[in-house]
Amino acid sequence: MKYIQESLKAGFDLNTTKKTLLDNGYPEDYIEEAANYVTGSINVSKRDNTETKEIEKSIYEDDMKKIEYAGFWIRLSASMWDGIILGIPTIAIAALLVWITKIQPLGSLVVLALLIVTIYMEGIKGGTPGKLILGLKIENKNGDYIGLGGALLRFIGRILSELILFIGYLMIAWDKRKQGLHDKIAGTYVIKTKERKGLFILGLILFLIPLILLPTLVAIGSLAYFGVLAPSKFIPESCTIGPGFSCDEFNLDSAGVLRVVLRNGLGENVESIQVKVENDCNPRLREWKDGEAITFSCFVTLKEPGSVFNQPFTISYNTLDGDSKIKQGVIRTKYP
Amino acid sequence: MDIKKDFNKSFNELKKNKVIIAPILISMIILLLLAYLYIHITGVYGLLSDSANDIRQGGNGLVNTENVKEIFTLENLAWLLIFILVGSIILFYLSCVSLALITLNVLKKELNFYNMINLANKYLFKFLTLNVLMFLIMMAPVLAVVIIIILLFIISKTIGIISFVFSTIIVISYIIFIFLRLFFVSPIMFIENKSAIKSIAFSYQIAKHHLRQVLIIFAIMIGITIISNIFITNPLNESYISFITSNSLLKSIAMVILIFLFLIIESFVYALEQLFLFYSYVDFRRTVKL
Repeated sequence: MKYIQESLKAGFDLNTTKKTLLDNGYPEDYIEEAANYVTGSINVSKRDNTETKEIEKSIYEDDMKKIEYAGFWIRLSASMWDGIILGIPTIAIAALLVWITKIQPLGSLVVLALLIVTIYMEGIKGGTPGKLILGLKIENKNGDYIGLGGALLRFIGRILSELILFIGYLMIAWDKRKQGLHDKIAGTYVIKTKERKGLFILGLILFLIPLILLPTLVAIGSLAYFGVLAPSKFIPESCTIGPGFSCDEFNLDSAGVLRVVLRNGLGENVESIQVKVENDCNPRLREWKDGEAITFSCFVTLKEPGSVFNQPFTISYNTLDGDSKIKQGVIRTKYP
Repeated sequence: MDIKKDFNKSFNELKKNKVIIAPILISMIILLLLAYLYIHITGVYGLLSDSANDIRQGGNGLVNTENVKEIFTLENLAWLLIFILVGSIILFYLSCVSLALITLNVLKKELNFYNMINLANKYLFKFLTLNVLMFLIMMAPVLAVVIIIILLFIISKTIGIISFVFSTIIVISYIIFIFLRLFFVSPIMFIENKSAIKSIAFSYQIAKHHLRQVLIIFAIMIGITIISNIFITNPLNESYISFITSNSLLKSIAMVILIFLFLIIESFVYALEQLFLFYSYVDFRRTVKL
């Protein structure tokens, strides 16, 4: 108000003065009220004395301290801290409760409790833990806490911000007073009260890590899925078989004899065993005790030395109950 | 108009006068009890409970077409109609009582049982007429369009499909438009003591050049509904189903407590929504010049 008075005295135009104040980050409604008061375009005598004093006081206080609104990145960082301080423990408690009690709705109750805590913190304490540790404060145009009603309205606004593809949040980036849609709906401002650069940057890093890591993992997974990055390409020698048997050793010699040491881990003796790689291997049709390792020799057709030998094999056997079963495996090595 | 102020006022008034949630809470409890009674009378309870046991023992459940066909006999359908009728009458009366309480609060009158019932009874038939008219205004054109589409389908399948696509867009636009124009009918009727037809006409007129404000109020109410659905209605339904299919007493007691807790919060949210509609109408009316 003092500034407007002095500007007008100095001969500046009222609109220019208003614009200067607006550019300096003062809320438009403040400026209007102050300008009206100074120019006397509203009947001051009819106004509530307390309200006038409040406006005077808030404008005076704004004069004293330069309001620094919290921008998009610091608020994103605060959200990350909220996720760590509130989100992770909530999920853990909810999961634990559901796991112990087997009562699914208890999980929802914990999430509801988180919502209530968030609204309480924003309304009464001036911000969620993430905002508070970064030195941010949510306030109304008078610089007061927004109260439970204001916080609830702000939360509803957040849902609307999300509904329009998060554009409501992105608005923070270009808005003059860094208000998102939810701030505009609830008439709130997020201001900086302290400088906490270290925590701010750490929060952003925590945000960026999954942002970089997730696409990287998806890319690796996709390449592996389509065979470009198949692990088998990097592990040239392998012998795999389904559960119940293990492949202890294998070797393909220059005479075309493949020797495979297989172990029975079924937990029972079996009989009439037959291992087949291209052709039947020896020994065959004998008993195979539980835990016993047998070396099977099989003749295979040799190909160009160094090329990949990738051959499926089968183990067929009868259990002592008389059931016939077959297990399949793959041997991968190089031709000698 | 100051939406923020209206919302805060609604919230603070509801905090001060918690009795406003009572009719909504009672109507929700009645609804759940009626549903519980119905599934017991018709045998659905037995099927659900046996099915839950079957799933617990590793089965796929017993809810299949055959079993459902067995349950939906003519007698059970008759019961269903009776329950729907009884439930609708009770819910309608209680919603009228709830709006009467909100009106008393907005008009700064004493919130007592006598005033509440008196006002609810006074508006009962007007409110019924309003609901019937609103239904007709919304649904009659839709019904006409559906009949036209069916006729076009009979004449030519291609024309039928094309007209279906276009009329769907038109019908949705019509419903949104008419809904926004008639957004304030209930507060107009209760606060300004107008007849059903006059309330509709007045709402249509008053919202004409102020659809932006109406849209903002509507958006906030949508936001409240979404929050309520995510955080309250879904767990409430889950708790109710868990209660029905529960096989242990302890779990059933826990479920009843949870259901009651969620019901109270849901009633609070619903009452807040209605109160906000009424207070924002009062504010809207003050700022709009006719």
